[in-house]
Amino acid sequence: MMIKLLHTSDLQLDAPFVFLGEGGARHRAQLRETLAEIIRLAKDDDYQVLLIAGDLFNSNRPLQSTIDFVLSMLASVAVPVCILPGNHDCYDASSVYRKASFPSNVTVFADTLSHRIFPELDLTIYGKAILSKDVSEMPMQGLLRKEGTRWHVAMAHGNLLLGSVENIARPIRPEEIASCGMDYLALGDWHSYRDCSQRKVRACYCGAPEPMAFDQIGAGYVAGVELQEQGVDVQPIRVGRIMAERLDIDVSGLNTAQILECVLERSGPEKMLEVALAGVLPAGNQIDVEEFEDLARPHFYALRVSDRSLPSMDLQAADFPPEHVMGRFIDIMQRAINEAKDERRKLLAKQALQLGVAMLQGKDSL
Amino acid sequence: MELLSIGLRHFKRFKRFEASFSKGLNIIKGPNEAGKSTLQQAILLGLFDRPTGKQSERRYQSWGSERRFSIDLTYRLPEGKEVRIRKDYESGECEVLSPEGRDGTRSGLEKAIQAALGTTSEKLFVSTACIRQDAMSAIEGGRAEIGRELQRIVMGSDVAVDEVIMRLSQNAAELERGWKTTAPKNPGPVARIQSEIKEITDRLGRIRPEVDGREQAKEELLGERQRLAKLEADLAPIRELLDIHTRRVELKQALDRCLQEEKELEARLEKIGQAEGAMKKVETELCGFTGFDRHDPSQQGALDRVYGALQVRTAEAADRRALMQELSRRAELHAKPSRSQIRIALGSMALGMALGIGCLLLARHFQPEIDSAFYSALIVLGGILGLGGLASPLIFFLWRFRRDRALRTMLGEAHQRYQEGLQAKEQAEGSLAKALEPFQCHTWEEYQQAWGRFQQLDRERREAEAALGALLYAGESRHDLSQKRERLSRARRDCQEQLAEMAAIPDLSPMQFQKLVGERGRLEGEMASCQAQILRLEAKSEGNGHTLEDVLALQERQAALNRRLEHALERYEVISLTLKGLTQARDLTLRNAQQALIPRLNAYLARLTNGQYMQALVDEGLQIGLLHASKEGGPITMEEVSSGTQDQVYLAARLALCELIFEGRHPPLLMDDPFVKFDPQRREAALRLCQELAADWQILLFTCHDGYDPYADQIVVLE
Repeated sequence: MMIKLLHTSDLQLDAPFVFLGEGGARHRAQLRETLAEIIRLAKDDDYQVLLIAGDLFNSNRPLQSTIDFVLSMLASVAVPVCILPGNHDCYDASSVYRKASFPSNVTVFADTLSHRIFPELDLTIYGKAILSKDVSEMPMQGLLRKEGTRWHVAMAHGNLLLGSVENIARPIRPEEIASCGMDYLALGDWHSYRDCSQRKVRACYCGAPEPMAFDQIGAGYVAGVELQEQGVDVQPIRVGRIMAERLDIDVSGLNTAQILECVLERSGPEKMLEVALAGVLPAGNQIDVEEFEDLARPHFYALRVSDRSLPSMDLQAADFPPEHVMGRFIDIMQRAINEAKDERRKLLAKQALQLGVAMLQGKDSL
Repeated sequence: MELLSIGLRHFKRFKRFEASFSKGLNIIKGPNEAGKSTLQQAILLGLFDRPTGKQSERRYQSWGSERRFSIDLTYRLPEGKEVRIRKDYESGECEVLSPEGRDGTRSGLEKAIQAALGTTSEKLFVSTACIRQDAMSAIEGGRAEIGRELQRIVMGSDVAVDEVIMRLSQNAAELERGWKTTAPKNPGPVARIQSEIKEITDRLGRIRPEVDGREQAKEELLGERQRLAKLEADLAPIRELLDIHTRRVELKQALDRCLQEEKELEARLEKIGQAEGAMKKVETELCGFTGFDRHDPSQQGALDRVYGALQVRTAEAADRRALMQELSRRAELHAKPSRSQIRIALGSMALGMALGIGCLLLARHFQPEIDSAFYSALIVLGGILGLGGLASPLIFFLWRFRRDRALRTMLGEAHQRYQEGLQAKEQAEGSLAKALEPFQCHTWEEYQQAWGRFQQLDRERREAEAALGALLYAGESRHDLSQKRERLSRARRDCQEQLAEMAAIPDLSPMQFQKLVGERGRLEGEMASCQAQILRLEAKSEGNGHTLEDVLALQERQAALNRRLEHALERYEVISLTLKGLTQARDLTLRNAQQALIPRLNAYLARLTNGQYMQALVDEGLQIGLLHASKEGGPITMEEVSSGTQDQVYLAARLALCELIFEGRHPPLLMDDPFVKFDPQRREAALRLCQELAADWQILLFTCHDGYDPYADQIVVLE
């Protein structure tokens, strides 16, 4: 018998989105819509269990309207729903899972380690809740398969230890995955889809269903899991409406209109675009980031531009000898750039150089 | 450096051009349109440009030529090394040919130019070593001012640096307004953003405690609800035990009541049975009576009257019969006088006669003594009594006669009346018999007896009914009582069964009961307090104030403003840095230029003006004033001197600048006939100065006049 599971995590409902400024409320509303989309998917595609591997809520103090919405959504899906408290909505004394009265089809893994058997599916689901904000919580510790059913699926919320990274919050070691004996391990905490299978154990981060930051390019998915005798099949399924993208533009030789054109080529009402400007700009062609963002933002769901472009460095000696004010100015600013204590000051000095050169060339750069 | 030759192909009007230059003063002369400016352009391109293949290069291409131009330039370095720069704009090749070899790279070209001119900057070269007629004309025409022009050259910028600095200062001041400077009514962008952030921070400061308080209340509510649940859980078994105890007591009481009621009901039912039996018996007996059930008081009155009439008639008949019998007896009795009557009649006669004689004797005896009247009276009385005595038997017989007759009459009447009474009695008896007929009674006594019995039975029945009524309450029937008995029986059985079920649970001792009641009271008190707290916390947590959404929105708005502020501050820092750097660069440049420029300028000025002006006054902004050689009067401004003198001051300044800027290096000076407005004396002075300068500087003097020829080391004629 094939078992179909839908695995999601990290919705972080009611999260503040300071990076979106006044668009935060819209993104919170979008997250609710995405939850509704996940529920719709679970119903329409006949998934038998919905797994939420942590951080359903952004905190243990969500809005009552959000709790009501989640409860109504979860009640509307006829299949069992298993929820694992994550680090954002940890199962502490003030946990939202203690406040809300969840419908009967919902299992909240509230204890340190617990499991729930679904005899009709011949399936056991395990979960080890995050109990506090303490980063030393061990999401996989003690998570071992028990006998009794054909299928064993676990949920854990933490960070996979990769390479030589140490001192990571809520670490999950690859060997813990390999030795847990589960058929599938539903992971949460990472916001991008990633297959972390170890030996015979299939393990996946499904990622956040919507990007929570500009850099979450891999977000927007849930994992559709099929437990079959031949093996466990995991497929990322796109549910998110918003697509985070990054656009690196080498602005060398481009003017503002051309840069804008490059950016607008990627426009769309669902695009969350981070634009990184790099390269060398001729003096006076520097970009007013705020103005540029205001110009392009209406064409995107969200837009952020970071300007790391540099003024063209052939200014310093060739065209402007040091006897001239331009040469002296370039020399002074070069010294300021070289003496800058940090990258920020260095960048500001470069921008000052750019501005001064542009203005000395008669370009209205203010 | 010394420019040796230039070769042009397809360059504007020069399809093929070759020219050689010598050290010293080279006069390149030709009429208008001969190509003097074109040659200057070619020299500059030959030095500083590099083929790129761009369309813009076609503007130098000869008209009608399909091929792009080429420039071939040869010069000698101070150390005697000859270098050739060949630029073919058709092939895009650029190469430097020197004793070291060929170099076709950009850096190779730059290196060669730097070695030759001391700069790779065309701008610097043009602004110093190229003295053009149009610049002189602008000075003369008032379109340019020497000080500003010098400043422009010194600064190396076409833009007035002071204006740039002023604009930067204005921008910085705009950003500082209300932030670093006081401007309450018109704050700058930084102050506005800061003010908005402060406002949001204040609002957050007000809202957050409210929202936190509500959230705190929710959490406390959760705790209180859990506490309430625990209290309920603790209370539940106590309540259950107490409920069982109470239930047991109630069941026992109910059982007792059932048993009592059952007993009473049974007694009632027995009495009811008895009453019903008695009533049935009475009713059965009453069934034997006819007519009495409809016997009403009016009928009874009529019967009484009929019977009364019969009684009257019977009494009357009896009275009449007795009277008749009395009269008969008296008639029989008085049929012959009795002895007593005879004795009385005889006695009365004897007595009367005795008394009459006595009276006469008395009258006689006492006649003398008594008066006559009395005497007479006595005689009369004696006579009357004597007569009376004599007459008494007669009277007796007479009385007897009359009395017998009266008796006989009365007897007859009595007999008749007796007969009439008998008839009336018979009629009354008939009426009575008729009246008693419905009751099936033949006699009044029989009726009286039956009626008395009927009334007794009726009374007994009423009594039985009353007794039954007393036993059956309002609306009750025996059936109801039976059902009630069944219900009671069931209830009793239920009680007994429930008590039997409870038998397994030990009953509470009074002490245990009291203890549990006390514990229940304590827990219920705590629960009441907990519920009150829950109500308070619910009210607190469900207020209609600000929500977390408001806090999030404010935080996000604050973040957006912070980003704007960050940008504004960065911009301010950039402007400040620019301003600082630019001010520093300007001050340094001007100060250096001023100090270096003044002696050179004075020397050239004196030469060019033939000693008319000995000293130039140059301020920090390179504004120039002049002092006469005679030292009479004060300094005069540039506006006060002639246009020719202005040209000479400008030329002196440019030459001084060249010395100043190139500092020992000697690039060729390109002069585009700067002496046009000079008078002959000063032109000669200028040409002689050029001759002197030509010892160190190669000069290419472009002109359309022949008057310069005597001073030339080399003349190049353009056709």
